[in-house]
Amino acid sequence: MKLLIVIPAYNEAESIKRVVDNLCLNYPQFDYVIVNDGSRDETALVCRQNNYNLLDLPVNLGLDGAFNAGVKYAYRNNYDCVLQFDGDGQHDPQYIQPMLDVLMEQKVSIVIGSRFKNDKRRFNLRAVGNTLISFSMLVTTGKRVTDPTSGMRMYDRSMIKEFSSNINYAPEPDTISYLIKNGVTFKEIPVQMFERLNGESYLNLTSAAKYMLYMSVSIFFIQFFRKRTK
Amino acid sequence: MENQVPLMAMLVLASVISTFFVLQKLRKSKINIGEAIFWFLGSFMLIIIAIFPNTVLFISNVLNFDSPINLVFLIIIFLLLLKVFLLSLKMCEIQNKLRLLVQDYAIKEYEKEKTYTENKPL
Repeated sequence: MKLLIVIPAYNEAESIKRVVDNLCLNYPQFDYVIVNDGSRDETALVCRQNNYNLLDLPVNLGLDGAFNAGVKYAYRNNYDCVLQFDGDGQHDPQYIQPMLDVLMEQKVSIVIGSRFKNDKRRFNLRAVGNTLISFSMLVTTGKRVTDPTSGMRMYDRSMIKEFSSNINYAPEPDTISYLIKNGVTFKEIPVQMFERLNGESYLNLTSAAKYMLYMSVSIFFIQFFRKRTK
Repeated sequence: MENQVPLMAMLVLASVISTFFVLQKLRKSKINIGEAIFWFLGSFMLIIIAIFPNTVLFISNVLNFDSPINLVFLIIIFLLLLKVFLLSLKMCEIQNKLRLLVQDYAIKEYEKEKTYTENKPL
């Protein structure tokens, strides 16, 4: 199985080196590609200086556009699966192999690295939002996803094709909900995540509220009416 | 109070039709989810106004409007103005991105041609 790690990076100049050096040094068996999403800082420069494998988007497209660019690259270069991996050092690469094993052995299309699979939930803003989205997905799909907002997900070849050739395929909970409702198989495995190393999280009260409204309306109403073309 | 049923029926009809159009476009993957959500919530609001006209009656009374329907018009006009403004912002963003892209492309082409002619055997 040929795996490609897609690392979308927006203004991650301070953390990207640590993340990618760790991957190159300790996990050289996996290929990776950094997608620089039109960063305003030195992300692209850092990548070029260190000779990293880089897709440099000339303008900012947002997480979905950047990730889908990486997936398109995977599709063109005949990779069997892709891993969505954060450039800010939150994700621990030691879980890549277990996720890949589950994808191969259990023949599922999506593997999600879940923070809450075995762990007790902590009570903070993120956990509450997560529970709400998890509940919406349970109601609309009948399946329980313990960590729908996890940014560490692995997709197989069929998903690569679908993600790279359609609109409205952002790597977000509503897309996952839509796919699960359409019979796509998935599995969650427990992972630990680190706190962000540098920079600020997008998560403040207003943007979190907006995100929640978007996700709820999208999961409850919009995803019902989408037609899957593949 | 005059008969409100025709107005309510029209509001419901308008929102049902617009919802239908949005869903049609959504099925054909012609609209982004974010945009669909705006129209969805807009239609939802019209239905709410149609079902609970008392809210509009109450607010228009408080604000001393001649007729409650004026408040409905005002709300819709404000929403449309907001949408036009957001669209105009979006268009500027797209224009600027296009400019950047074209400039970027031209420079890259130039560099490619230059390295090609420099490396060409005489």
